[in-house]
Amino acid sequence: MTLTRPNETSNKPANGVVLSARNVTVEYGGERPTRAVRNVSLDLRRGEVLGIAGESGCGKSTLAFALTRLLRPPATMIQGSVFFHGLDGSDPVDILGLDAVSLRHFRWDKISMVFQSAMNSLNPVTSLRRQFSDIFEAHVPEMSSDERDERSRSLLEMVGIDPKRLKGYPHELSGGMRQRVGIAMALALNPEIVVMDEPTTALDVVVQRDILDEINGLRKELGFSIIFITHDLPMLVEISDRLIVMYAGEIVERAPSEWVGQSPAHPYTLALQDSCPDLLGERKELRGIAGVPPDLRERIEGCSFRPRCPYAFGPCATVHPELIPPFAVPVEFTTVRDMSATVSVEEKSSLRQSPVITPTAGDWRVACHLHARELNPEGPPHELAGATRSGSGATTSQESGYNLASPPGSAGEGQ
Amino acid sequence: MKYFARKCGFYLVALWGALTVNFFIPRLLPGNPAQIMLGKMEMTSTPPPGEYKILEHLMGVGQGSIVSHYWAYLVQVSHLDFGFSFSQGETVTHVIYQALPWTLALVGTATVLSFIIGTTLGALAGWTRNRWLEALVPVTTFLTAMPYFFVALILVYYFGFIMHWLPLSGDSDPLLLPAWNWTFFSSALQHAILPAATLILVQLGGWMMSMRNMTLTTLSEDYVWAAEAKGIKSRRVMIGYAARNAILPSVTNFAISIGMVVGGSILMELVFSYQGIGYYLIQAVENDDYSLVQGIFFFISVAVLLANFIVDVMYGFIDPRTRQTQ
Amino acid sequence: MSLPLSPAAASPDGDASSRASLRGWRVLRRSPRMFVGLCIVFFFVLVALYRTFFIHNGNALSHQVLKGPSAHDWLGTTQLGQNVLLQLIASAGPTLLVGFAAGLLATILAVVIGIGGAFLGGRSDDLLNLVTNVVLVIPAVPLIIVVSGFLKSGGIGPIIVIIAFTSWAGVSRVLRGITLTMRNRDFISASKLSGERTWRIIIVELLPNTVAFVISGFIFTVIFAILTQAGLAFLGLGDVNALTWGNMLYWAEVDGALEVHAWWWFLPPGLCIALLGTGLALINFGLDEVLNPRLRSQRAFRPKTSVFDDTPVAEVP
Repeated sequence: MTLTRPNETSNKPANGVVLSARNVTVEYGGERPTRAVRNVSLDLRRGEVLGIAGESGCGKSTLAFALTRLLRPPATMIQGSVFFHGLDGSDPVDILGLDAVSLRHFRWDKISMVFQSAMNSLNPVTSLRRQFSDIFEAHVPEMSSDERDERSRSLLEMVGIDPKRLKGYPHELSGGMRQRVGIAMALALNPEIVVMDEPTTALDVVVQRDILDEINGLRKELGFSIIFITHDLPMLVEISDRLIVMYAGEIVERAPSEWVGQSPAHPYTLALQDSCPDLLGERKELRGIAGVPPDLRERIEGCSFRPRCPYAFGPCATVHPELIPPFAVPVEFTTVRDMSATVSVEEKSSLRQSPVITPTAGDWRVACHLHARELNPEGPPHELAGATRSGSGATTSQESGYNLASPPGSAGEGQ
Repeated sequence: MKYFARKCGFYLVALWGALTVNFFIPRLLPGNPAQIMLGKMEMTSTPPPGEYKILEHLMGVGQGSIVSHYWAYLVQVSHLDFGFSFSQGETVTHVIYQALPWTLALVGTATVLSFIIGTTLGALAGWTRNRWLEALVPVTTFLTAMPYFFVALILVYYFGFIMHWLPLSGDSDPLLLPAWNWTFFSSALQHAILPAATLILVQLGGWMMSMRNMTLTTLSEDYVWAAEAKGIKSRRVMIGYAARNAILPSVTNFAISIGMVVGGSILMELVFSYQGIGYYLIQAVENDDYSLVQGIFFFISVAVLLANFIVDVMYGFIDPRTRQTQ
Repeated sequence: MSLPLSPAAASPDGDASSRASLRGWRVLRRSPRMFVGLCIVFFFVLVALYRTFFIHNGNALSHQVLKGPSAHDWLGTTQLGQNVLLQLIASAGPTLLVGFAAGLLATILAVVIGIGGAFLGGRSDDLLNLVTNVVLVIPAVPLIIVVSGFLKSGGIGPIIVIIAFTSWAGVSRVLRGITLTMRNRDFISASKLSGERTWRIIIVELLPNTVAFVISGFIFTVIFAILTQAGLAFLGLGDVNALTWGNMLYWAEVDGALEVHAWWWFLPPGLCIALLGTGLALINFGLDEVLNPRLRSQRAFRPKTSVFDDTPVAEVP
């Protein structure tokens, strides 16, 4: 048996996927290039909120911009593909293959963005009316000036801003209002995807809550999909359907949000959860994550989180963790203590060839195969939990994996 | 409009400051400048009656305290009467009335042209990162570091003495009388080419560099990037988002640089014998014609302040943030 | 000339790194412009020192009148038989002296008024700011010409003082802006709360963080002073017998160097002024690049390989 990466590599995207990315790798050029995003694959489903979490510099924003082809020099995508599957059933759009003109038409029309700092993303010296008009003039040239104003006013009204503000300038608005304007602009052309890059980070908690409710309401009403980027894991767990945790440019965990909230399957996810206050949850002790992320200009041996990981043990230094469903962990490595005590050189090499399940769709709960079992001995909740508990060996877990033909993600999202 | 009122107030204060400086300058002179002036006048002609009173007021000398001097000076200046210029044989106001339009037209046109050319080149250099435009930077820096009068010397030497292309000096053909006709106009234009070229060449580098730098800075602003993300056409992003914001500091600098250019043009006018206000200022300084000096400095100050005021008001229109009431 | 400090250089993210990144050779490696600029200025300083020790009379006359450049007199001679090269070298010192002295004096004024005012705040700041802005809009060069016309007393000292007193305002305004943004930074507030003396906070905490802007302002005033001094000398205001590049140009004009086509006489001093000014300006550009990383040459940014031809955001129009 051979190890197959249980991420979304080479899988045909399942139905209902609106954006699929494969093996996206981004480098920041320079004397020693920084590899900010490493071999990341993901699918965004129609109508869902896909969260991307991670601390500053983990590559989450870079990934989002790579997906929309908005990387600024010195960042360059050196590998990967991104396809957009439109609602109209036409051929998938190869975003990276678009020429300058088609790219310009594609942008904002299909994928729009809400930026972290609304103050900085609005042109400070032109009126909101002008800025809305710019969008319509670029994409819907046949619109008359009155129609543009009418549409702009209704967009403002939709996000809860007095349409009279259309004549105003960004500096006349409060932070929260600016972000609402940013959202209104993102929805101007009825896009199918809205990428939100830390849209609430700069706002105070109360306004943050209002904006999140607003976003949620609009999504239900208009049915667009969202990629939501933040460092606030508890918040992301609450608002997203599925989420991705990134560390040092890689996905370290991907699962339905509810599962992540209940039982993180990667030491980093756990640490991230402990470092953010939960808005609605009970009080807990907050802990920062000791140490600093690795230098992404260096080649990283083994697991990138190892130097900061309280659960690190022998193989972590040399074996690059693969993303697998947690129940597929080889039986002899049930706990960390087992591993550190027993793993020898030969076993390490056998670890690489451990039998692992090949998932059928890209919506497994996946995380570091070295730690999945340790952090989550009870296995994931819901149906999958039973399956995992029943597994007592590699073969069994493989079988149980196959048994789970229906994606467990759907159960998580259904709640 | 509060912004407008505040600017008016400021420039009134600035004008008062300039007047006060002008009042104190003659006190640097050992002795009585009014007496000296009168003595010089009597050598060539009979001074008009009451001339000594005017001189006393302007120079702040004579009977009474410094406060009364100051008041008499302000009253005198407010009548725009600077007395008689013995070196030109005319009233100071008349000399200025003749000379000022030449300088204003020359400095104004050249500065605006230089601003437009330099800013456009700078914006292009920043936006396209064009290698040729980047290579221009050291050249324009070198030009900018030259004194105006030296550039004027080189131009006179090359185009006048070597190529014999353009007239060497003066503001128009001395045989022509000022009139609104083509002959006079073309003569004036010909005479203005080299002076204007001097002013443009020296200023160009400054505008280009500042616009280039600001464009580079603005290009990495989120709103420019966001505009790209919105699929707005490149040209519109460049003009409406990048250049529109990048030009703001240049406009502020434009106001400040007016004073500098006027200063540079004084020496340049000397080299070209271009009979503008700077030419007469130098004549006045060389001949110790103090009333003419005072009058010219007053009018230069007023002109520069007025230009600054206009630019400031314009700035209020192009940057909505300044109109915000605090 | 506009102020070389672009306002963007005053952005918080720019100056945060200035303190650390200003140290040592790293700055030079990052900015070739600054390196070239320093070389030029250093060269002129060496020339000025050479004159102090080796040339006793740069104005020595000879019978070789109005000779063009030759193997013997590299830059030819003047109408009085003076050696142009010798004059040029002998003029470097006084020119530099006026420039640096006036620049230093103006910078001290700018620091005291700009930083001091902004740090004190309140009424005194309002007043100082008003004074600064008024001085800024009163045309400096005409004022200098008028004042030196009345002064009559030539000499380098008064000229240095006049130039300094008319040129501090621009720098002061820039420094005030930076101090205002920095005043509210945490580390300054902390010093204030811990009861440190105001002047101590200014010297120990504030100045080191504004040092790059102070240097930049200093260089700007030096350029202005050198150009202005040359102008005054060209007008014959000041001591016409002193050896400066401006005076060389004055005598060249007066003695009709243009009419006799003695280009070797009037070109070198002007070019020296321009070259020195360029060197100083390049140092400022370099400082700008260090303070504002967005300005650095893109060489360092260009990725080695790119799979996608036009992945970068900005499509060149």
